[in-house]
Amino acid sequence: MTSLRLRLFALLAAATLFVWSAAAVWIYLHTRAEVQRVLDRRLIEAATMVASLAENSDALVATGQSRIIAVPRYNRQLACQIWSLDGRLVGRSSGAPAEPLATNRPGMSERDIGGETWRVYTIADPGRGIRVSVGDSLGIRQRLIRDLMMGLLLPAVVGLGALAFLIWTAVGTGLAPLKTISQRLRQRKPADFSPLEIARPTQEILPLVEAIDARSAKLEQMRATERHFIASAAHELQTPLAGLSTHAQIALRTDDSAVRRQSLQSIAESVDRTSRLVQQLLALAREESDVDRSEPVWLSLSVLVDALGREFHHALGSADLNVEMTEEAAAAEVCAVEAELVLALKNLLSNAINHSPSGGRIQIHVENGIGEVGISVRDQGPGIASAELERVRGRFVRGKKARGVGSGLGLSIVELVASHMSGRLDLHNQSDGGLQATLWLPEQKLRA
Amino acid sequence: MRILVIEDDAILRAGIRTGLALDGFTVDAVGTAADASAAAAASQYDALVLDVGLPDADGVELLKGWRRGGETVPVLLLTARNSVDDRIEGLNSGADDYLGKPFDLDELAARVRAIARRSKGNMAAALQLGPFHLDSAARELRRDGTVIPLSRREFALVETLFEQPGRVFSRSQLEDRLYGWGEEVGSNTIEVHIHKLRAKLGRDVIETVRGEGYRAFRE
Repeated sequence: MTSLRLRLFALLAAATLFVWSAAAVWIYLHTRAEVQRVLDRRLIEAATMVASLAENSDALVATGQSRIIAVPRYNRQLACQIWSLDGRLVGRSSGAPAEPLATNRPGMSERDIGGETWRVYTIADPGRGIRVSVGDSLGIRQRLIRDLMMGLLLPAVVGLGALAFLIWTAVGTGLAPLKTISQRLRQRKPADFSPLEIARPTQEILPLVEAIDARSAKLEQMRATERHFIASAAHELQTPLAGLSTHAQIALRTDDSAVRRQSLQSIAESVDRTSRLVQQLLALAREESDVDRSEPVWLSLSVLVDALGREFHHALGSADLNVEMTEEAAAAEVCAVEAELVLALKNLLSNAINHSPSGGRIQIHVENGIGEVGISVRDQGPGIASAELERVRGRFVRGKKARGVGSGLGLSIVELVASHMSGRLDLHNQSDGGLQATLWLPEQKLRA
Repeated sequence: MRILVIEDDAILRAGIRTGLALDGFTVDAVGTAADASAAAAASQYDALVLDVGLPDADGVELLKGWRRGGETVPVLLLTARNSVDDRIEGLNSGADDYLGKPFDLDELAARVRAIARRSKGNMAAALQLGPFHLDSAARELRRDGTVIPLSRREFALVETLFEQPGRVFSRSQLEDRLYGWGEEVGSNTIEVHIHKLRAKLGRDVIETVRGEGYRAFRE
């Protein structure tokens, strides 16, 4: 795992080193050029001076020997030679080699003598018949530059350590808010969803803090919903279980066979109802969990309704109910996840069946709205009191006119499915009685 | 002992009614808060079994309303909400006892009997009156240690009269205690039961107060 601090430090250190190195290279080049220029000027001046001081070659030659001119020894680095134009060494300074420092050509030149490179300036004075060469060793020049550079770089290298320390500390201080947040997060208990409460969050940290807080709040809300759901589920299961247990106790202790039969009948009913409740709870939990949702496909509405009709065959038959589909509905295809759409239709149909009067008619038709289409299930039952139309969507809520073995979860499930399909559930009482439940979907999800 | 069961779940309601009747209670049962209020106003009950989750009202709120209105009938709250907080809230709202679902029928019967008994000032589970020993839980009446065999109605009648000795009960009050709704009561049913009881207990235990009714153990 890389450390943000280390990463920042490395970046800053690399950037600093790069800038410093570039500066050092530039300083080196510049210093070298400047040293070259200044020393070259010195050569020229020295040569000119010597030339002006020198007697003419004849006089020098007349002495009969080459002699060492009393060139001021202000700098041992300089070497001077005076040649007659006809190629005799007339005089030289003490540090100068006996070999010619330069070719005959006047001006600046470089030459290797005895393993040492010399930079030489030569002037010829045809009037006096002499040629003066003044030179210095390049090695010395380079040592000069090196000494200059060392003087500049040594403090920098020592300072680099201090700078590294400063950068390391500064990065640490700069990242302190992050550290605080991570510490807070690490220390808090899993169920703690309170805001982080970072004092004076920086501009960069603020979005992070806000995002974490928003997420915590959402988690807290989800947890509360979940807890409420579990509590409700447990609560809802207690009553049928109590019914089961009560009737079992009665059946065990009564001697009256009619009472026992009645109790056993009630036990059977309770088991039905409890298992339905458990199924609905599982369906709801599955719908809520969002896991393993397959891709929507085009499904024939009539095929699904026919299958459900077979499933409800017994209930439909015993109450003499008819499920009818309009031609439009029978031809319609819906783009949906099959299990989801079946779940929604099953719940709507089951509600209609439970509340239909004997011999009643349940009609399924397609409605057209603005930008949306609806699949409507209409029954001839008592409808839902208008005051309760919203409330019955809630979990475990059964309307006052509710009949049958409903769990109070059906409409919640349908509503959840609707929201997964970007749709909605609409409930309204028809003018001639009976409920119309419509699953409204975006229009592109249904085709005729 | 006549009690009113208020439970919205039809199957459980039927179960409690049948189960408590097996235990000798006279049971009326309703499914909504509105029916419960109407029933409580119309009849005299020894105790109420009230489910907390009713479709038209919260049982606890209903009970608070009754208590504010001066209703003193003992109430046992029946609930699926079983946390300590729920129990405390229930008891603070004026309930005499609290039972979580699912429950044992015997426990329900015992608790109902206990709150009814306490409301009449009897702390002991069994009554000793002269030579008679009345054990409601065991549904036994003994005289000097010998069990007197009684039918369900006879026992209920003895229980009613013995629990408040000296109090005069009118015939309709006694009918009320012995018979739930929808049970056929003949015009001379109470007289028939009294007659049989006198034969079993002795003539002077239950006294007829002319024009008013009956009482046992006149002070």
